[in-house]
Amino acid sequence: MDKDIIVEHRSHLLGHGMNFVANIPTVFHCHHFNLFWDQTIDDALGHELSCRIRTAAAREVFHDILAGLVTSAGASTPEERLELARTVFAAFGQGALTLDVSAAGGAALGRPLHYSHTWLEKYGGWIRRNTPADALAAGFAAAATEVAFGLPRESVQAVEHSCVARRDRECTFELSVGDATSVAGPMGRLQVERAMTDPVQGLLEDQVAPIEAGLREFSRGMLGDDRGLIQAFGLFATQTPSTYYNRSGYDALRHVNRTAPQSAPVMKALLREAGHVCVFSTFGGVLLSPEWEAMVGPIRGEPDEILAGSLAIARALGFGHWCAGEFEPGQRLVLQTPGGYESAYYVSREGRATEPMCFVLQGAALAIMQLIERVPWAERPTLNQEFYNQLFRNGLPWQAEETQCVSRGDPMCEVVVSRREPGNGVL
Amino acid sequence: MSKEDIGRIALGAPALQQVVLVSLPDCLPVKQWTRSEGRDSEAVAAHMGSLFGQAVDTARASAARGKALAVTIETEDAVLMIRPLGPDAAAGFVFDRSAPMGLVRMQARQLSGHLANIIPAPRESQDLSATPERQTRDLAPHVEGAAETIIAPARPSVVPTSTPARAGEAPKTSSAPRPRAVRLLEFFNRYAPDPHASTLRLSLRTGIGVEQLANPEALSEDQVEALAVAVRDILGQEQLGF
Ligand SMILES: [Zn+2]
Repeated sequence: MDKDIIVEHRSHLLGHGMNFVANIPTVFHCHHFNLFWDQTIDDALGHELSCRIRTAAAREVFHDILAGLVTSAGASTPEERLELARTVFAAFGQGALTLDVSAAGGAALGRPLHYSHTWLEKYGGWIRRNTPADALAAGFAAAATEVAFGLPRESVQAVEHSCVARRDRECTFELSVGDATSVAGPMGRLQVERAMTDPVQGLLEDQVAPIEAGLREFSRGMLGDDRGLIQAFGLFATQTPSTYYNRSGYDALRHVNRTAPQSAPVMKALLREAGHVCVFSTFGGVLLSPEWEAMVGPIRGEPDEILAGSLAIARALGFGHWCAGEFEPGQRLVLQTPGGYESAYYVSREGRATEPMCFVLQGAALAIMQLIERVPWAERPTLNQEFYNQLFRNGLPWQAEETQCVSRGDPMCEVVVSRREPGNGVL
Repeated sequence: MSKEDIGRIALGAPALQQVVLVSLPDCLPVKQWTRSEGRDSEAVAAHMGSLFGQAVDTARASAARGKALAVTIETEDAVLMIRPLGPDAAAGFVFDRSAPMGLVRMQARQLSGHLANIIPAPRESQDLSATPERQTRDLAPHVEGAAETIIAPARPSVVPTSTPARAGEAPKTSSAPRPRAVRLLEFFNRYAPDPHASTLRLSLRTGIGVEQLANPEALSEDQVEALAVAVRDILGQEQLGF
C-alpha cells in the first residue's frame, strides 16, 4: 500500500483555507501544539478522563477517514484494510503502528509514535512522565479495528499499557470490543461548507495569494518518512483530523464549565497558548526554512513580508482563510477569517456560542504579532524551546481579543491584537 | 548518574558539545560526556582540555576561598562555561561558538539546574527546597552578561522567601520559616517545563486562582496538598521531599 493514497485523497476548500482527507477536515500541526493541547486537557480533567475523551475523539474521526478510504481504495479484506490503516497513520506523520487484531480485539504496538517520541525529545531531559502519551494512536487503533472487521463506529476500546514517554521500550495497546458508545454526528466537508461564512478580502492579497498556492502544492506532498514521522522546519509535524482537537477541547471545556467554572478562563488561556506556541514555532520555522527560501526568497524580516507569509501558511496548512483586515506595524493587527477549523466544528456540533470560541485563532494572531515584532530575522535564530522560553518567560507585550466569532453568529471571526494595557493579566 | 543521563539532559541543547563534571573543592573530573555525531569528539575533548585546565585553576582558587563560582571563557570556536552545582560539584559546558551568547548562558543555567537535581544526594540535607545545591540557578543573575571570567558571590545560606521566585530570580531574605506552599512553588518554578504557562497549569489542575497562587502563604492546608499533588504530577516525581 502506497502512502500516495493520502495525496490522492487530499482536497482543499479554496477561499476558506480548509484541508480534507477523504472529505474529513484535517490540519497540519506541530509537536509543540500537539503536546500542549493534550497536556491542557490533562491539566483540566486529570489524565484518566482526559485520556478517555481524547481516545474517543480520535476513534470517531479516524473511523470516518478510514471508512472513506477503504471504500475508494477497494480494500475489502481485514488484512488489506489494516495495511491501509498502517499506511494512513504513517502518512499523517503519526508514527509506525503494528496492529495484531481480530473481530474480538487484540493488541497494537507503536514505535515510534509522534506524541511519545516528541514528548521524550522535548521534555524527557527535564522531567519524568508517569502517564502514557498516545491517546490519539489508541483511538486510531480502535478505529482501524472497527473498520477492518466491519464493527460499529465507537465500539472498540483501546488502552495504552506501556509508553515510550514513560521510558518503556515501546508503546503497547490493548483493544477490546464492547457496545457502541454514543455515536457523534457526522463532521465532514459538507458540515464545514455549511458552517463557513462569505469569503473576506484583506490587505497584501497580491503577496499572500501566490505564496499560498505554492505552499498548498508543497503541503499536498507532505508525508511521513520511513519512521512514520514528518520532520521538517525544525519540528515534527502531523496531519491530524481537526475533530480530534475540537471534540477533545470543547468536551473538556464543557466539563470544566460544569464542575469548576472558576477555572474556565484559565483553561481558555492555555488553549490560546497552544495556538501561540504552534504559530510561533511552525510558521516561524517555515519562514526560516530552505524550502521557503527556494520558493519565496530569503527572509528579510519586514513586517509586511512576515504577515503575508503567515497568512499564506495558515491557509495552506488548513487553519482557515486568514486575512489582514488592518495592520499598523508595532501597534495593531486585525486578523479576519470566514470561519476556521474551530468555528466549523463548533457551529456544526455545539450550536450557537454566547462568546467567541476560537482559542487557537486568538493565540495564533498574537503569535503573528510576536513574529513580526520580536524575532531578529536577520540573525536567523533557531526557534527552539529555549528561544521561546527566553522570549516569553515574562509574559507578552501584546493582547488579543476575538471581537467577532462565527460560532456566536457573527459574519466572520476577527481577532484584534494590540499593545497590552497595564494591569491586564494573562486571562 | 550515568553518561547517558547527561546525554539525555543535553538533548535539548544542540549547540552543547561537551559536559565535564568536577568535584569541589579539588576540581577533579568525575564524569564526562561528549557529543559524538558530526564532530571528532576526541579532538574536541583535547582542544578543550587546556582551556578547561585554566578555568579549573580559577575555579580551584575560588573554591579554596569557599566561594561558589561561575566562569565563562570565549575562544574563537567555543564558549566554555563553568557553573556550580552546589558545594561539592561543578559542571563545565562547552558550546559551539556560533550559538547566541544569551542562549548559551540560559542553557548552561538550565543544564546546571537539571544536573544539580540528579547528582547524588548532597551531604547536608535532603530538603530539596532548602539545600544550597538546589539554589544553583538562583546564583545565575549575578553572572548574567558575563563575557569574561567572573566570580559569583559566595553561595547563599538558606534563603527564605515570601513570594514564589521565578527561576533565575534571587530569593529575598527573611527570618521566618518558609511555608510549605512557598517552598513547593519555588521548587516548581525552578523546574517546570513551559515556564511562561506554569502558573496557569497549576491553577487549572488545582482550581486555585492565579491571584491566590501569587500569595501562597495564604493558601489553606487542603489547597497546599492539592498544590503538592499537582507539582508532583507535572514534574513526574513519585514523591516530594517536602
Ligand atoms: Zn471564532
